Amino acid sequence: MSGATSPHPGLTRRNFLKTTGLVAGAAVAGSAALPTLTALAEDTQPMHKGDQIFHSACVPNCENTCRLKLTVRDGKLVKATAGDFPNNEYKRICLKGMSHVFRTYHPDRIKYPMKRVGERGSGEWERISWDDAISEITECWKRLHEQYGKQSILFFNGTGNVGVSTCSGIPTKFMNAMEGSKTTGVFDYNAVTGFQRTIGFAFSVFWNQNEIVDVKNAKNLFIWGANMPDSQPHNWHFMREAQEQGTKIWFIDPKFNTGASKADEYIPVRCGSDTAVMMAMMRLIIERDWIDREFCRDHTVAPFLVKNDGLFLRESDLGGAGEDYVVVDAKTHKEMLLAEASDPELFGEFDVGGYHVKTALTMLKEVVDEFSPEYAEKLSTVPAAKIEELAEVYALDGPNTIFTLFGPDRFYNGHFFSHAMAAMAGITGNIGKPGASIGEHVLWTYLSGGTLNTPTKGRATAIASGEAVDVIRTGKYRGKDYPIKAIYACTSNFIGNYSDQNAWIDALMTPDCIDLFVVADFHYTDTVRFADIVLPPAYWFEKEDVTGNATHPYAIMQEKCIEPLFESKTDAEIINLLAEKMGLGEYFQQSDIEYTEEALKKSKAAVANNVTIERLRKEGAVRCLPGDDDNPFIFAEGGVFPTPTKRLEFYCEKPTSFAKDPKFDPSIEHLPHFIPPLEAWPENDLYQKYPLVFLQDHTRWRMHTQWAYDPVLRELDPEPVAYLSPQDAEKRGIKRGDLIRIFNDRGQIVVKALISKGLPPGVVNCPKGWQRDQYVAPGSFQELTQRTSTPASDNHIQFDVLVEVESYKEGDK
Amino acid sequence: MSENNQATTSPQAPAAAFGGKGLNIAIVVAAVVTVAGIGLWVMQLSGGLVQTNMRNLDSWGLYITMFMFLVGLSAGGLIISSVPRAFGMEGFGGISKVAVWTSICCTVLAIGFVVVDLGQPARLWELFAYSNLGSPLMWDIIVLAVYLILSIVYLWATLRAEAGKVSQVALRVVSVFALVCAVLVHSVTAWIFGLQQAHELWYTALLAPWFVSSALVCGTALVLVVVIALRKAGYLDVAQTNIVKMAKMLGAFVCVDLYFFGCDLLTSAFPAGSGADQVAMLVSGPLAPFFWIEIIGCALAAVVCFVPKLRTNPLLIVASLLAIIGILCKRVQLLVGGFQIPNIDYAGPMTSLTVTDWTGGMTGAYQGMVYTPSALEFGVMLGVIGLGVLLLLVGLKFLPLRPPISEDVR
Amino acid sequence: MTRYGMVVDTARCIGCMNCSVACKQENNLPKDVWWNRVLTIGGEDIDTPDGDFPNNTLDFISINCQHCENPACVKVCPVGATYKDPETGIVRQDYDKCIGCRMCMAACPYTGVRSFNWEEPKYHIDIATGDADVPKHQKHVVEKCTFCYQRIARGEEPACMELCIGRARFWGDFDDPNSEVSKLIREREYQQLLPEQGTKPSVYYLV
Repeated sequence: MSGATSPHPGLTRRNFLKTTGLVAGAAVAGSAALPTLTALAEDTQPMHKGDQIFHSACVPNCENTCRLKLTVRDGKLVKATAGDFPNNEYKRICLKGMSHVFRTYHPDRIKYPMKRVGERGSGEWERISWDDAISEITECWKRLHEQYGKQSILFFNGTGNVGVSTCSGIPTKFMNAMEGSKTTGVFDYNAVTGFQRTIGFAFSVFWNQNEIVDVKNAKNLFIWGANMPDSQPHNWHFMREAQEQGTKIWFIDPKFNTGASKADEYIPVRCGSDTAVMMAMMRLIIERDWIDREFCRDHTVAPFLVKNDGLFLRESDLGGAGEDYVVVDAKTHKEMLLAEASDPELFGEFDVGGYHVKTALTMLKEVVDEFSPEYAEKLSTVPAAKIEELAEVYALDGPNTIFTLFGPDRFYNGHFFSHAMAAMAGITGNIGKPGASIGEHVLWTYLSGGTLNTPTKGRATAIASGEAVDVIRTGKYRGKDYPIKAIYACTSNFIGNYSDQNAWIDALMTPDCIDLFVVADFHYTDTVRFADIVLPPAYWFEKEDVTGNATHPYAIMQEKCIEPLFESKTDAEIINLLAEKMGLGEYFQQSDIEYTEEALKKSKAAVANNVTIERLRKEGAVRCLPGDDDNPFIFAEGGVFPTPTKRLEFYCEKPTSFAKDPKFDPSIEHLPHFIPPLEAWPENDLYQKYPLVFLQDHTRWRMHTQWAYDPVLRELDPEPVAYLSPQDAEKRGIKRGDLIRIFNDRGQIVVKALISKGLPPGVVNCPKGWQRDQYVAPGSFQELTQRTSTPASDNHIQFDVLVEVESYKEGDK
Repeated sequence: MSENNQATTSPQAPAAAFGGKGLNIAIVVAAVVTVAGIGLWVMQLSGGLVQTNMRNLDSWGLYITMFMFLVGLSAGGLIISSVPRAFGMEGFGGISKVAVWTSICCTVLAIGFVVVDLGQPARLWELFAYSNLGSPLMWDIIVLAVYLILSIVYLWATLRAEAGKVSQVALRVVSVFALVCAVLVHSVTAWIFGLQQAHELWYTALLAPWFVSSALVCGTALVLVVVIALRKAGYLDVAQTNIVKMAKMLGAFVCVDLYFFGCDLLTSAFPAGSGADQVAMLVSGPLAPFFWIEIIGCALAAVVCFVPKLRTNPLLIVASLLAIIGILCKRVQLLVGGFQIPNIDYAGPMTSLTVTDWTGGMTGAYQGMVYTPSALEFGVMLGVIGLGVLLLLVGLKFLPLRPPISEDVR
Repeated sequence: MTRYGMVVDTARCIGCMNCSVACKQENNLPKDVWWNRVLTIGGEDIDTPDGDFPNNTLDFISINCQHCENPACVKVCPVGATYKDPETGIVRQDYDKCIGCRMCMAACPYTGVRSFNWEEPKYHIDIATGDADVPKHQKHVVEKCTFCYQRIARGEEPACMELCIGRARFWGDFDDPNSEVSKLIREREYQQLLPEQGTKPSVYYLV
């Protein structure tokens, strides 16, 4: 009796066949492809008398920016569902979108301006009038301007709302007019840096893919460092449909997750070692001559000659007048201008005009040479034979697409991951064609409000996000006096999202450090909890805007569906009030949609694609990306890249640091390298003390910290948990359901332990986004993360973190 | 036999020894408990059944357990008094009316437990207006109602027959009907469970006969306890031969019941399929305490009943109580066990309405018993039992249930 | 005759629970009530796989009332509060009639698809979400997936069908041989839940 040995029969998972059992059904070989969701006619007609239908968009910067169909009954929003698109393959909504009604009417929504009465962070508030709030804020600001200078006010506008005017528009315009301070990048810029320096900036830093409907043209799809079904479920159906049509999906990730389960092949990789695998793949591709010579020659910098100083050899170097690049002709072995060379050497080391030069491809060959598959196996745990297979398939069995998100990006070496990916795509010609592309596809600030940003001559000064908290604590930035005495945050929960949370809390709690901390938000986020004055902004459906920050190619009209609840005001109204009192009133007179309209009129992308408020009001969603529904956008089509050379620059001639980091060393940044993660690497001494890599899944349950308080989603995903591998749990005597403390020198978090057999030993996975008050003990996942940035990119490396785990008993510290 | 001799020395003047102050106090206590129970029931209805520990995955609990148990108890009395009549055999002495009255009280109790389990007791009338005659629950309601009425008629007929107003033939006819109905009531109650393919533990053809045997066990045991107690209290006089007869019957019934259990366990376990999980759950899983109490209790009861030396009144009381507790444990195993192994046990969202202990997920929910009653459920149960005791006592006080002198002779 | 039902493509399903939330919103489900749940066929917790790393397995199955052709629940309801709609084949539940005996919950083999309102329904917000035609939820009655009957009545498909992000759900009439769902189960391999129970569900899972 199998069950007799188990005291808990419920523990025995019965296998699927046993509980279900195959009944019937003709098994058809290579089964018929499923039809896609039937397109529904755009229906603006309500189903009930009295119901009104509006359309808006979900704008939390999950990047998917769904068009929403909103039902309003008796002046109240009652339903949020998927809105139609001109191409309904893009029609979608996720569970967060469907819980907007609960977010809008959440009982804990911030209803009126409030002023702190207790100690900072105590959560004791009193209601004040808008007039009093605005006066108090602006009077303080004026005083600080006199006493400490204009830079003393630090502005945060995050990605809590990616509408054109709300996200990059009005707040940025205001901080520029105020000549205050702001922080740089923070997230995802490792990925951006590696792509931007190689394949260029087309129109958005995060868009370097073909339009996703093109994925079906790929023979192989490598999903590398992206748990798509969980973090971007919106786009998974494109991939599955491609799979149904014969595209093979390879899934490369440290964890076995939903994506891995759906893939044709799952390849586990050690956290932070992905680049080593690509380096080895490139070595094999070059060694075995699997490169696409034609593509290398015509569309990459492969034949370019690199001088000792790291720069390309130009006509001017040889005494010529022009700046054309010089290459060596394969037949004559003589130098020639690139424009004139029909068959330049791809490999070789030459002496040209007194310069000792190598071709860029030779330089690449030299850096990848170190990475034998066996060595890469040691680094990454991916078997050498598997690396060979990957290399062969990627190089020879195309067209191939690599899709990534921001897993590898969260490590110190993350920018080399995207750099290496671009290099590999370049030498194999897997880019610039249908079915062949790399990277991500988000129209981040494509339709930018940034065009609004210069009403006066002044500009806000950017300080590196990782250093901002030190600037606040010391009053110095990179050696110079730089007092920051006030903070204004809107659409931003930076306390909840920035690394090394304890440093921030320490700065905010230090007396006389920050005089005034103002936050505009609609829920009691970690940031709001430390504020001195809280302002209630209108929710997304209580005002008008336009958004185009999306993984689909459309700009969406965001209609106003309901009046702002309680005493909330739109972002434009709030900024206009503040500006008025600061003597900047003349620049801040417009309504939200007027700001948007102005931005669109000034936006090149909007003008080029005829994106106007008039069209948006009429059509709801307007395509804003080049191409059309029958001819999807292909990145760098024809191999023409938006780079200085118009080619794929796997050798980056002039690498720069995003945040102008003094630690940045350009000499090591020309080519991709594998360097170990800063912290989360077995050879790190800290590994003895903290032997677990701390990953923080971006799950469908929250968007960063947004939806943390959503009551409906919390029924399904009620409490903070961490997943341990069975081995790590057993080693520490931890059982499923136990409370555990995860800690390192920076901080701690107490969560419920769950066991995942999909984790390798040495990795703990703690889905992110919970707020401090949702844990059973003081702490936050962001206490554990580090704020050291990659010098090239100013990117918080939130997975490059080591921790230890122990059992926790209530009452423990 | 020595017991017989002893028996004859017992109560000389029953009428004088029974009733009076003690009975009145007992009636008042029972009434108070009943009223308190009704109060708790009202609380349950207004605050919601969420105050019980029943939830979606264990949607029945203590009340339905008690319902099953009391239907069983009710049977014994009627069968004991009607079998001899129906078959024209020698009866068990003057206990037949008390036995029937006990049956009636138990039936009322059983119905009471169904009523307190209902979410919408105010809609009970719909049972008659919209009866779905295909539902085993409907069958049971009909059979229970008929059974209750027949019991009352039978009691009335017995009384009238004593007064010479009803012929013995008519009484015998009524008793045959009552007997058929008693057997039916257990079968139909069993079918509420036994016809549900959804619960492997319940879905067995054996369940109906097994319910009958269980009913006989605890019914006989209850009558034994009541009779011995009433004789002690001086309410009636029963010849010890009849007590012994009943004890022997109890022993036989217990053996049959255990035999059925054995058959069922073997049939479930032998293929070593999913039935083995059910057996493991009973034998060594969360329900093991109830399983072993039943097995050991019933076995001991049988020993007492069959070994003449052990057939003393105190031991018979103990044996009867063991049998009753054993059958109660059986009911618990059946009810909770039916929910203890879910058909679909994959991990999924759990809320406060899924199971009481929902925070541990599906695995956590089934680590111990998936259901244990809440304090309120015990309170309401006591109230319902209070009502039964009240009925029993009031009946004993006011109804002419004592055996006529002639009966002893007859 | 019409026999409405659904086909769920488990190869497409990513377990995101959109269907659950779509149902929750559309039907204004009270706090803690879910008519449609997505279960993880894998480890002991949602989204966790089974097997030894890296050779794991992980699947999902969305479970709601199976609207059986031979429903166990309908047979046992003493008052006919749960019944099979002859026009659509949908198993319906009449809240006004239900006496709260929970016989149907005991009879249904599909663990947890029927939900009893163990208390006065509670809501997170004061707004009744979703469709205006959804009957009011009542205390102490049994409820479950209605296939969004109010939508079907207007010729729409259930909310979970429309809002499935993975395009994994299909809806239609199994009595119509030309319907999409009929074709799917002709052409693809499928499973049904607990076929040995003989309930003949109207929900098919493509594998």
